[in-house]
Amino acid sequence: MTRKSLPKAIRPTNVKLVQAVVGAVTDDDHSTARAANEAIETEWAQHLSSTVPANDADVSMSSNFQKMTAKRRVLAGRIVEQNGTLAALSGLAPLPAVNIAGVAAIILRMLKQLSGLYQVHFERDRTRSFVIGVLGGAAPTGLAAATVSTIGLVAPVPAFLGLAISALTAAAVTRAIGEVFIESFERQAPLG
Amino acid sequence: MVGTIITVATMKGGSGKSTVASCLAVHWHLRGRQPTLVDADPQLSIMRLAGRERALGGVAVIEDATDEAANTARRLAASGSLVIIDTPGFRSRTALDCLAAADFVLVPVKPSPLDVDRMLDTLGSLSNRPGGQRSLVRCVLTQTTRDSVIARHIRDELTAAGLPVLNSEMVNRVAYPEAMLWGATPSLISWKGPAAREIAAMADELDVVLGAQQAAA
Repeated sequence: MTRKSLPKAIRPTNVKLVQAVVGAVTDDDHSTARAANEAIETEWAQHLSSTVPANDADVSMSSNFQKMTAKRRVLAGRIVEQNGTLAALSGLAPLPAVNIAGVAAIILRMLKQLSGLYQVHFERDRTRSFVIGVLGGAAPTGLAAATVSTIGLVAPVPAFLGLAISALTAAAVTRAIGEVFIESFERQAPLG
Repeated sequence: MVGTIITVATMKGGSGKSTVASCLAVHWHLRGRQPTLVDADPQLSIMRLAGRERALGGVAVIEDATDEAANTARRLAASGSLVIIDTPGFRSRTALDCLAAADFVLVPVKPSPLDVDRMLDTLGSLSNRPGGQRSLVRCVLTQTTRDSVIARHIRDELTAAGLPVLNSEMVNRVAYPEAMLWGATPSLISWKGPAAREIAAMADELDVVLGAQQAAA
């Protein structure tokens, strides 16, 4: 998809104002007028990496911060569960193309929600490529399940078996990707 | 225990200040907190909402569009309340005082160059605070058209310029004015609806920022 080329919203005459603003609003008292996103993201990443390392009980954290990160982890788990369920439902679609497209869309949605929760910049194009890559890698299994599900519709005996396999596969793939991304975000690793 | 003052401000009208302030207050109220809304905007949008059927779900609302609004907020915060101030959509003594009183400034900005200009003016007033005091600030995109090129363009530009922008945004949805008919917000009408989920995402993001600030303090 081609993207329109748009002029800048911030006028050149406002550049000094932006610099003054960035210097005034950054959270770090020692910073000057450096890019706030860099300052804030780095600061947040450092804060997290220094206060919420996995399995490091020796680091002291404020109870507020502990509660906050625990709550975030619970919310993240809920997002993965909900989207896993949706993926399972999508996996019930008897047409392989619809099935895979549906699961891909749900995974994308889940990753967008997770990146929002963890304040990681969501790059739709990059994430889409990642999801397509993952689903492409899983395609033989997915197609096998989808084929079984399609045959299952024709053959009366295992009519629901194929659909069940397809749904379970979709849910498992979605949940696995979700868990991997949660772990990645918890460690502040970059998206994709 | 001292509470937190969140000032929702921008020097431009129609950017969604009252909507953001009321939606956050109602969301946190539904989550069991006891926020207080201070309506410092002479338009009294929040007061008008509170006067309708659902009365913002019972959120405490105080009208003070005078120059004393900031002091009112400080008094409430001193008693441990979470205070959310809705400010006038133009440059005034009240708006500047409320900015000065804030622990956290949230600046709604529509994806438009005019809003960006006024957002910068608003943030510029923070850079003139006495004693070089720094503010914890986030901008939030409001009334966006979902997945639109202009919204992404403005977000990218603000981020590239170094301005702190929330990941979550308030998409333009009919759920907002519809809820207002009852004096409510989308969280009260449809807790699981898309608008309510976006409000929840914004509130959670603010919780993380404020939690990090408190943890660092």
